[in-house]
Amino acid sequence: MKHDFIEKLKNDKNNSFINTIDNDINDDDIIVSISDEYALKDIKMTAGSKMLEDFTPKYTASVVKNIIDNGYKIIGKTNMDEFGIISHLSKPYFGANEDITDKNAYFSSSLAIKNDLVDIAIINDNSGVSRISANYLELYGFKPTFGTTSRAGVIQTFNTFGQTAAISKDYNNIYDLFNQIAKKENNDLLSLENNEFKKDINSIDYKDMKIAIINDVENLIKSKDIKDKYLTSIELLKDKGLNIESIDLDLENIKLVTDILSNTEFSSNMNRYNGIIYGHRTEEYNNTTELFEKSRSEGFGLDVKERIVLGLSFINGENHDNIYEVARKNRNILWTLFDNLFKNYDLIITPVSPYNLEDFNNLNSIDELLYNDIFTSFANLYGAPSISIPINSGILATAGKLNDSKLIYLAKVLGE
Amino acid sequence: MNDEILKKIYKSAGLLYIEDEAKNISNDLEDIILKATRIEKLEGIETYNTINFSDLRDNSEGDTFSVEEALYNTKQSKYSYFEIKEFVE
Repeated sequence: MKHDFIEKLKNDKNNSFINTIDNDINDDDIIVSISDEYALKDIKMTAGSKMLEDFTPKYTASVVKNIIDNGYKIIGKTNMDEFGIISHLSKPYFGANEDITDKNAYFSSSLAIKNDLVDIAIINDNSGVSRISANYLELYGFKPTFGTTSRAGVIQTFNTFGQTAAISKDYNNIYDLFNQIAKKENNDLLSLENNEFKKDINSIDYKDMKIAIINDVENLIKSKDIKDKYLTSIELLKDKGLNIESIDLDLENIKLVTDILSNTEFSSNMNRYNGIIYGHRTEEYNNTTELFEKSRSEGFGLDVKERIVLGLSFINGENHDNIYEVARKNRNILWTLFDNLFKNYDLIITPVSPYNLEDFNNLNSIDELLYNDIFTSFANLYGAPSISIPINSGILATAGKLNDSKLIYLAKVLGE
Repeated sequence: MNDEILKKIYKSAGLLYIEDEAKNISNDLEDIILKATRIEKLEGIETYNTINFSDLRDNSEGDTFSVEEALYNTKQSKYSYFEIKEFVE
């Protein structure tokens, strides 16, 4: 047996896993974890929430089926903050990642890799969790082009932003995995053919590619050491002979568009958990309204309630036209802007996050926590592939849609 | 957020209004909502008036329809299930 998984898990104080799966492991098997938002037939799926504590799906998510069919061994379901909402008002329902923080379970998938429990961790990246958490632990985090895998069987939270992503110590593992599982499927109309991973990783060569860095991006970085190391990283890219030019991009306004639309989607998606079709049902109620309100109030944690209220605030009364509609139209304009930008540049390079790990763990307000995704989330808004590369406290590269292999090429160049 | 709006949103969210909890959430959301009210309209938003079917589906022709038409149904959903249910009842 390659991994003495259960034994290691007994000593894991990080609550990295919610469920383990009985699977025979051979020496040459590649071990995979999936976060607890992916359906696996007859195994509980909680999304880290009391609301779904007793929910057992009768189906397996398409992407998970593809992982299994290609010979990967899934050995457990990793813990997560409730429905992927980072905890700060309440503790995560299935425990926090104690080695790093007592506040949230944000690092569960990355810790499964860091502690050698698995080779690849699968997680749904809605605004940057795969890339940011991986980078804090000096791992690779990679989100492919939106639609590379089917969303069928994945809990829908931020459905036009989320994409199955992978975390690993080795970018070759990630590339090989998506080579096997990237697939257009009829059960998700927005899935597409992504042939990028069929290219031979050893022969891909984009040495003439043009890289854009964003003017004054260092002013958006909050931790001084991240700022210093980012500037060093740019020098490193130049030393590698890469062609770098500066562009203007208003990341703060783009981030605001992302926050408005994603949280509105989230509040809408949470409507299905009413104690009747899905979710926790309260024990005592006198009518259906009371059943809904009590079930939802007992089932959801404070952070989820906060995001529901936030999403509804953006469409409440006049805000519908003045905030939500403006953001929705801005998104279309931004899609065109990024289409044009990626005609001229192969990659955009930024830091991964504005805060170092210590400062990140001290964040207390939702505004600050959302800000931590400022560099990662535009890839989710646009549907672009993006990778965090763990050098010099991390750099984030984002490519145009269906140009995923350029990111792996960069990881290869920087790893040499 | 004032109390009446907060209560209305809680009702709309299908959540029990628990005053301390709601106020705690409201305080935490103050900055992000304020920021959202200042969202800048990007250049080109005023002339944004059509959607191409081909933007939505790969296999459709290049027909267009007005944004107002496209938004009509979206706007109907500005009220949540819980508000509509309350109205019907």
